[in-house]
Amino acid sequence: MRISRRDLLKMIGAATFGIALPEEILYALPSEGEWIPYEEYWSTGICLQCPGGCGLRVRSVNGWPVKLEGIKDYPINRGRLCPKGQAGLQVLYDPDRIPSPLRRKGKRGEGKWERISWDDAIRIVAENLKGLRMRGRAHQVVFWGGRYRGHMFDLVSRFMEAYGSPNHLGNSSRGSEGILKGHFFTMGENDFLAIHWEKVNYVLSFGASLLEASRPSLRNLWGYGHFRRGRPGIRGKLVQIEPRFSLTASKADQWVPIEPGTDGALALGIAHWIIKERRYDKEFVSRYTFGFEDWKDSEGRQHLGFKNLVLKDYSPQQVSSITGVSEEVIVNVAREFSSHLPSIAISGRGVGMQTNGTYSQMAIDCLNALVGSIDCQGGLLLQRKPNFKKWPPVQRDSFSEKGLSQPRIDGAGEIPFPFAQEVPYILPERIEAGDPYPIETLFLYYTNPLFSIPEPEKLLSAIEKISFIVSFSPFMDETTEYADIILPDGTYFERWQDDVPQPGLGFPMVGIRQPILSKPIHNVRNTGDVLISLAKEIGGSVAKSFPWENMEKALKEAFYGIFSSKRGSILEKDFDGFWNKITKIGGWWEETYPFGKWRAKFNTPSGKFEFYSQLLRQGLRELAHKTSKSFDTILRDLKIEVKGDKVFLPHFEKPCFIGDKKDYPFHLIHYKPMTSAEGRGANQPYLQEIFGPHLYERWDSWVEINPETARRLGLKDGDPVWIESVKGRLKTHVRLFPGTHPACLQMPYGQGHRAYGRWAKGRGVNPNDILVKEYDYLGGFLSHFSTRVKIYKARKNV
Amino acid sequence: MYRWAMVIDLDRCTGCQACVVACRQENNIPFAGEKQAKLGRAKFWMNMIREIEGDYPDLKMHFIPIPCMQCDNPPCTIVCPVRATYKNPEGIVAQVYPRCIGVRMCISNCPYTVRYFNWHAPDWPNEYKRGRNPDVYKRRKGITEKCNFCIHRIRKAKEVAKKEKRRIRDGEVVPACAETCPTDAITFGDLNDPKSRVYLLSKSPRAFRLMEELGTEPRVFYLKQGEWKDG
Amino acid sequence: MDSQNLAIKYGQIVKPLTRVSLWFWLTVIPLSIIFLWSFFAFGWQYQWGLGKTGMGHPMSWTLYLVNFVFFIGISHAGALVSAVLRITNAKWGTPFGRAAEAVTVFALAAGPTNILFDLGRSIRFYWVPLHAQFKSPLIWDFGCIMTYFAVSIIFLYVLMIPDIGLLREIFPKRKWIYKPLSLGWKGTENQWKVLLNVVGFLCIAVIPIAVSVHTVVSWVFGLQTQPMWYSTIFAPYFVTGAIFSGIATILIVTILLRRVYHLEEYLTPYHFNNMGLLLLVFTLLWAYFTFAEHLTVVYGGGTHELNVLWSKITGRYAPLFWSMVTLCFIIPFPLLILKRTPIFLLITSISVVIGMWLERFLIIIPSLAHPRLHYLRGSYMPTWVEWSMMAGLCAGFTLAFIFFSKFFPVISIWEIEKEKKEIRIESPQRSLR
Ligand SMILES: Nc1nc2c(c(=O)[nH]1)N[C@H]1C(S)=C(S)[C@@H](COP(=O)(O)OP(=O)(O)OC[C@H]3O[C@@H](n4cnc5c(=O)[nH]c(N)nc54)[C@H](O)[C@@H]3O)O[C@H]1N2
Ligand SMILES: Nc1nc2c(c(=O)[nH]1)N[C@H]1C(S)=C(S)[C@@H](COP(=O)(O)OP(=O)(O)OC[C@H]3O[C@@H](n4cnc5c(=O)[nH]c(N)nc54)[C@H](O)[C@@H]3O)O[C@H]1N2
Ligand code: SF4
Ligand code: SF4
Ligand code: SF4
Ligand code: SF4
Ligand code: SF4
Ligand SMILES: [Mo]
Repeated sequence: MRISRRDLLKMIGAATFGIALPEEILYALPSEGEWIPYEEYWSTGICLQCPGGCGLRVRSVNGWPVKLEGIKDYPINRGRLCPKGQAGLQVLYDPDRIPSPLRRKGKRGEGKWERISWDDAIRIVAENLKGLRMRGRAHQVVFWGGRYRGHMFDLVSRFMEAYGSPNHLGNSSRGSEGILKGHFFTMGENDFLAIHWEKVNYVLSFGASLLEASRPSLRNLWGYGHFRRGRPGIRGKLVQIEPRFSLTASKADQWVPIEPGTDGALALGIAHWIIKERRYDKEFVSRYTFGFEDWKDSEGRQHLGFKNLVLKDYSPQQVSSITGVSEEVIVNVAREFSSHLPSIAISGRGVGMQTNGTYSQMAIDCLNALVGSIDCQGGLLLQRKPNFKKWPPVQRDSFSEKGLSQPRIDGAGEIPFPFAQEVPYILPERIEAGDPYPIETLFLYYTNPLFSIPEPEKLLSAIEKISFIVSFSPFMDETTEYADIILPDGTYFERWQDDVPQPGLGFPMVGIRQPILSKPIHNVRNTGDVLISLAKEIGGSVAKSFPWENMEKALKEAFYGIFSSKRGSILEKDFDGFWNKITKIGGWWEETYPFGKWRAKFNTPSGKFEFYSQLLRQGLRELAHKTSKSFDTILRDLKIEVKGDKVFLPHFEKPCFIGDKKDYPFHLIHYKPMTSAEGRGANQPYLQEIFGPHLYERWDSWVEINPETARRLGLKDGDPVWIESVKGRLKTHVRLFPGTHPACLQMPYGQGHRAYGRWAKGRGVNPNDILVKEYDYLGGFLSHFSTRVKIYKARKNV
Repeated sequence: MYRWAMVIDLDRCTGCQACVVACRQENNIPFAGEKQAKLGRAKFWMNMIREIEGDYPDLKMHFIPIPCMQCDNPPCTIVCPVRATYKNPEGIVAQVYPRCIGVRMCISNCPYTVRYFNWHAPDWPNEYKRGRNPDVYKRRKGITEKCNFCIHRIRKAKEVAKKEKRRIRDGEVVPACAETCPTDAITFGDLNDPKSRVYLLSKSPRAFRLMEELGTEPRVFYLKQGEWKDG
Repeated sequence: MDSQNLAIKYGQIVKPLTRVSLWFWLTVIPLSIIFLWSFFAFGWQYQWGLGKTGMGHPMSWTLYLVNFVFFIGISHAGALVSAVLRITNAKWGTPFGRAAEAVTVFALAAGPTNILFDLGRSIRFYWVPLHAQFKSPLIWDFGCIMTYFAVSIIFLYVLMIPDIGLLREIFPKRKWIYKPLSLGWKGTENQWKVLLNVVGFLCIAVIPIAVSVHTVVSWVFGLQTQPMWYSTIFAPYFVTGAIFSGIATILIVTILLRRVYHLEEYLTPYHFNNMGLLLLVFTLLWAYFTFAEHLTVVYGGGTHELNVLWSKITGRYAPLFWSMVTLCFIIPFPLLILKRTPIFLLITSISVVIGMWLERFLIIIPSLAHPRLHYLRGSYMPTWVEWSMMAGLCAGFTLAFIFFSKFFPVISIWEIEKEKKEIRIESPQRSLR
């Protein structure tokens, strides 16, 4: 908008005489903000700052994305984005992205690289793989992945199978294995459950970081707003059980601080009252559950049931002494939980990722069974999957057969991890020891273990033992720094990828990522495409297993299934029409959930919800049989203390904590603030600058302590302190925060990078540097919250 | 004539700060960086304020998003010696960047401390520059800026409405902060339209305004159950 | 008596105009260096933005504003004091007059300069008159200060004309300045008449203007919503403070001049004693206002005001606050009662001046540091840039005075002479009608 000299004079005149003016004129003074014509267009994508899977609308101006919004009717986020989503463009535009394929020069981790062409890069990697394969050492290749979405997991599994290595560690349970294992033993499902926010009236959250983290964040945030104020006359109640006064706790109607690691006991205490007062949903319990009452098996042996176990061992006063939660609170919560139906009990990593995580989660699931809030309106729903078209079967040749016949490097499925599909956390030790065999080649995809798992130093030394490391990361993260070859993936704005929420709203849905720039900013390639090219380069049956020229084509094939089912939000005559529509809309979904279908046939031996887990019983029996070990030795291997029927019933196992209480008096609680995107958020200044709103912290990490405790230890707000565990110590500054359990210290996760670009590097500290590895062996996963620490004053800037 | 206003429901707001980032991305507000942020040079047209009451274990924590209140009698405008900030006919307290000479009296006289000064020339690493919004005007060092209810979005909506010879519909203009708010806590609209959502919400029994006692007549309303304590 | 004799008679007063001692260079050179350095500092700030200062959000008005208020305060000394003394025909004030008026002019030059430093876009300062919005107290300020500046320059000048006339005669070499400035003063009956009329008028005019200036300066804060600014007492409080610090400054200046230029003959203990008493009066007034101001807050103040108040009295600013009280009252009060000899007055005055600077600081900073919405609390530490500007300003101020004293007599010769005459032929007619 140009403006005439007349306007100008008028304006200055008017301004001086204080007449109000339309801002159009006042704003358009010459020499500043002169208006440049531009052409804009909108495209869609799916956010991947966290696994929430929100739909993105991207506004581009003259070819460059300038703003992200949510897709208006995308079920997960309904047009909304969280701060991480909003900051997404700083992922795309990060000045420290890896510009092209790189080959290491100089020593590992030295940071000397040379750019190479994609053809060379792919050739080099393919050579290595081919070589190993020919020498019958295909199994010595490990693929370690993290943030898979949609078909990426299948593509990689396919690649590893065709190639012939059993060692695909997909972080398939996304860091919350405990929760999944609980669901698995009680309901036979290895998946997260969706919350039916529309109807739920009472949410009992055992450390589910509902308003900060637990996925799908935006669905939960909306759910919170809706269940609080969205329904005239009805105001849902949220009770947050958590040692930390989290944001969720602050927005909850009631906060119940609890001794860390004792949630299972609390759940059972609540169950006790509900059962004693006969407040449970008798219809559901009798029709859809197994092992509530004591029962006889085929051989006529009598077995303990959930009811009597709980009535005997978990009275409110017993539980109160374990959990530090007063009896009246327990009783009160139990009363409300069983009367304000529909009510649900949910949980988070703080509960699941403990040494007793599996049993705790089973106990929590049992609460849902007691009030019958599974697979019903306002209850927990099974996440239904879209019916993709199956890809053609994988081609195997003798080499792949040979490789696949080898045991897994991480010993998943064997003692001590009988029920795990994978145990990435143990890799460092196994690789170090070359047990059962040394590792030749390691692929890193979308994961940064040197940052995200405890005792990174072990991995660091293990890496020395690996001769060839390939990373697909677009960013120079801690682990990628030690790679030999980097094949940079595009960011989530620059690639074809589908995205199936885990969980979403229960009903089947899928979103689609697509390149929104005419061409990627840098010389990067979709890892999917790269894997396909690798397969082709390797040739033979491996190539045959990948009949598509690229990821887009592979996806199209899978989506053909949805198209031909002729259901849901997109109905088109021909597939091209369907594809155009889905790429324009950003996704497909079918907004009907088949209530009652799941509960009618659970995926368990009894086909019912199992208070008494027969899956667990069978599993252990087979194990005893296979290993011809006695039951008791197996229990000892799994560090299970109880005997007999209790083993298969949810019960309270004493959590195990490393570091004895005298020297290390505090539990170290680490949490994900809304502003931290796992290990990935720290390279985004917008997030750094608002990192800790509840303490006005930014660009740094800190440790929270209870003011009383601080006074006792003579610590003042902001003092520099050391946090020390048996493993080592961290220096940061202390913040007095009344929302801290006296027995705990709290620390945000996401800072403390040693790499990852200019904004992340050397900022704050990473709890993983002092956390100690401990496991829930039954579930076969890392217990992330088992480290005790002490805190003491440090000298300024030492 | 429109009278733009905003309602923020604190019972819904979870302090997620999506509004904060959305505002910065939409209005080309550069981040300050660690050092500058420590010196109080970070600009948050939408600022997040936290209140903690009580002690462990029974305490409360509130988050209050604070945009410019677009006061109906704004203390900030009258003190500006060169009239670089003024109340426009639609009730938006607009900032005329080219006119501002940086006296900062408006800043010290804004009881809500939502005016921000360009202590340095606003700058970005080149890579981010591509992602700037062309609709908002450049700022330079030495001038004051603040939330303007995403005036550029309003202007766009007006152009459309003008073409179609009609008033802007309720919900047609959505500021960046409101658009992204995951819990639907922010509502924006025209107070002159008695059917608009803002109008209705602003009449809610839960509605209150910050520091009413100052008589600044803010046009950002807050909703909260029960008594409200500020300070 | 003809000019030569006068020159001889008042040799002591005229001497400094002819001689420069080693001390002169020892003071002037370092001061000049500091002064020039401050230009570099300003350039630096201008280039990189106010970010080079310690200011931030919410501390957006700091050292520059403090100095602004401080210097404007000092400026009251002059014109006001000398005018009042003249009107009340308090003879003991005569020897202070010239110094006082000079102080006024230089302080008024120094004060508003701070605003220039403080502007985000200093180059655009002229927009203030150009686009003036008259509702803004800053505009009133601008108006008043400019008027006061003009008037006090005239005041100083007019009162110098007879002396300039004299100098023109006795220093032919310096005709080039004295001749034009003397406006052809011959000392004719008529010229005297006109002169005395003008002076008489200016004396009356200066007083309300001076008062108005600091009133308005106080309103720049007093009309704002910041906690502990929005207060009715501010106007008189500021004016009192201003005169208080003004008098102290005059004392410092004159005592030093007396020492350096050996003017004991004209600036006698008798004069200082009276001046001391005047200072005593204002010490009490200041204490009274300060007490009133803070007491009101303790009682009436809301949470926000109290936040600020406690931060001053017990909080982060307590050390500054209590040193202010000490410097402005606890030290001066007893000393002024007991001893009003030049040396002690020097000590007292210095303590008062520093104390008053602290007062200005404590009026501005703590309020901004505790905005109503308590979030990130402001904390403020000036940077080298700000310190340099402050030093430069003081240096400039002193230099200006030194150079002035090298071109014009720091004690009004003709007035002294006149007084002497009047004493001889004790005429009934008062010196100024
Ligand atoms: N903003 C954000 N959201 C995310 C992610 C992210 O990085 N950032 N990551 C996503 C991923 S991968 C995951 S796995 C999920 C994880 O989501 P959640 O598991 O819900 O959240 P976390 O913060 O990982 O879990 C740690 C929480 O458990 C609490 N806690 C610790 N110990 C105990 C205990 O003994 N009992 C109880 N009751 N609580 C305890 C801590 O206070 C902390 O809030 O979040 C997802 N969403
Ligand atoms: N102390 C502590 N540790 C934790 C947690 C905790 O709460 N506390 N949370 C745990 C949980 S729940 C999880 S899920 C894990 C997550 O930990 P990881 O699985 O390691 O995931 P990130 O740390 O996010 O690292 C992902 C890496 O992928 C790379 N990357 C980023 N964008 C892309 C892309 O577009 N393409 C590709 N190919 N790569 C990309 C980046 O280099 C980044 O370093 O962390 C776990 N670690
Ligand atoms: S919740 Fe996760 S997916 Fe959704 S916008 Fe935030 S970061 Fe992106
Ligand atoms: S986006 Fe909404 S919920 Fe989040 S902080 Fe802002 S107002 Fe509150
Ligand atoms: S909130 Fe502050 S800036 Fe906004 S209108 Fe009111 S006084 Fe002015
Ligand atoms: S900063 Fe700009 S808007 Fe504020 S008072 Fe000074 S000139 Fe006016
Ligand atoms: S209305 Fe616009 S400018 Fe104001 S806070 Fe919201 S997004 Fe920022
Ligand atoms: Mo995770």
